[in-house]
Amino acid sequence: MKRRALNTVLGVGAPVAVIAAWWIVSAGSTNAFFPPLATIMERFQALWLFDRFASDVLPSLRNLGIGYAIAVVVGVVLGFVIATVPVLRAMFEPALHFIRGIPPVALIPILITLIGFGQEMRVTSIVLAATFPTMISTIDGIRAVDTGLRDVCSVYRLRKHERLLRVYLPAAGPQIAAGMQVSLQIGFIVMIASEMLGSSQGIGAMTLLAQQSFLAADMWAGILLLGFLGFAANILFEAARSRVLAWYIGSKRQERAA
Amino acid sequence: MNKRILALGSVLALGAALTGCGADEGAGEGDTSKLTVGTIGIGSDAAIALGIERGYFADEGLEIETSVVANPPAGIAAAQSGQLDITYTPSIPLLNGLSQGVDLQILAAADGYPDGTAELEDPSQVDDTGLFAAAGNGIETPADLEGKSVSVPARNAQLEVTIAKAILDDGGDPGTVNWMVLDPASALQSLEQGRIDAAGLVAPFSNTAADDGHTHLSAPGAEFFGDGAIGLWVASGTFAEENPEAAAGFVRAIYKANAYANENLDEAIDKSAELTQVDRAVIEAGADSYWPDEVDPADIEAVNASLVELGYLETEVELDDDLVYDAQ
Repeated sequence: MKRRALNTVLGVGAPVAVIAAWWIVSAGSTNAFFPPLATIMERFQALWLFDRFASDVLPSLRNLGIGYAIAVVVGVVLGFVIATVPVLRAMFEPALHFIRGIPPVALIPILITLIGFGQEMRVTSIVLAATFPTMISTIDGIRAVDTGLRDVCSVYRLRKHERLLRVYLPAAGPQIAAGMQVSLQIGFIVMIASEMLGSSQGIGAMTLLAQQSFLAADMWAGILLLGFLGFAANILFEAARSRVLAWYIGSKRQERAA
Repeated sequence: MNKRILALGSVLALGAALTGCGADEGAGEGDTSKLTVGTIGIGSDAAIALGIERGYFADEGLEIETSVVANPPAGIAAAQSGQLDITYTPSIPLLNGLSQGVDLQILAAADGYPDGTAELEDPSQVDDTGLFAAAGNGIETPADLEGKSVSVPARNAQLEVTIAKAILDDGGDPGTVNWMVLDPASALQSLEQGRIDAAGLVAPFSNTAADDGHTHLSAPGAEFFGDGAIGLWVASGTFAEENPEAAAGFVRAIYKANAYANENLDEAIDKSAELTQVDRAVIEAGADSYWPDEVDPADIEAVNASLVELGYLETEVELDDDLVYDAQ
């Protein structure tokens, strides 16, 4: 118990110490690229709370939300199909690893050529990039389903959809969740990258514009906002994961206790 | 316990290194004769390349190492941190930087427009930038772009500012324009597909737009700047002070190179074609390059005033008397 308390103190204390150190060290900075943290926080408040929240933060988050949701659904469904249909697996698995190897950011110019530079390009690029981690971990997760479980399904003569939805999907759940977490991070990266071209709307576009205009404090404020959003998204994800996979986390805990 | 102290120490050191980065700028340059110079990979780089080839820099005891930077702001940041000694930037990013307290000094002119540009009937002869409306979309003058979408290679940079001025001078309100950032190839294609109403383009893409029959609305660069230097060789504010001989040598050599390029335009065009990998015929068909022999502080002042007029700067940047380095 004592150990856990100490960990909490360290977990909260270390970042606070780093921020305090940043604040103190940067306080008198006259370097145009590394303004004092106090200035950055002022700009943070002026920009994001809440002047540009509706005009820039919300569109970015909306693109991420829509893109990520589509990516997860497509990734799980495709992963499921590919993992359970041997012919498809043989056909597509090598190609999948090839496509997955292409940095998603490199696809953005092609997407612009195909579908222009509006919000739909941004969502599409997020979907394209974020689908693969979920899909591949779904394939791996389904394939790793215990043969014992498969036998049980046969013995109980479960119907196909019962097998898929009540046995395979939950069994692959922990791995799918891990893939979804990677997808979320990649979606975040592509959300920013997709704003480098097209209309100057969104957190990434604002941050880039600030960088090119030498507005260093605005740029740092944008970077901080991205950090906070990423952190918050991860917390939300963890919370959802521990709800959905409560059985798994519980069983792991029991295993460890035993 | 020691490990923890070490870890905390390294975090603090990292913070100090990040925030104190500017402190060691220029260190280690001392009296070495090697200069790292940032260029942005455009046709007018021909002058410095010819100067290096012809040994003008070597005559001054300088070894020049050029590297292409992504864009002028990136070059300015690199010059500020000491990764580059000298970098190319047009006057607009320079003023943006100065307005935010970035310490910079102009060493020499890199490119610009010849005397008499302001009086030219067809300024597109000398202007390598152009504003084009999609063929047949009914836009005839810059003022028609009110409320329309216009693509530029970068926000708050030369094309956007000069086009905004063209719209304002034509009686339109540039504040209503929806600016889009597009690389030139995408811009041409989007113009073709009608996804944007107009595009601000740089040679050789401006030549392609003209060949494709898009409407030439303005030569925004020549109209904005008139004659004089636009592209500048810039160093951090302390560079010339700390390396007076290298700075003076660079200035002498680059002006010699500029003069040579102007006098031997054919050779310069060959060099531009080689550097940019663009077909020689395309470069020749486009605007004539010009390499000025001085930087007139009044030209920088004029740009300064225009940036305020157009709302890109809140107030004019206070320019030091020694903004333009005096090599004498």
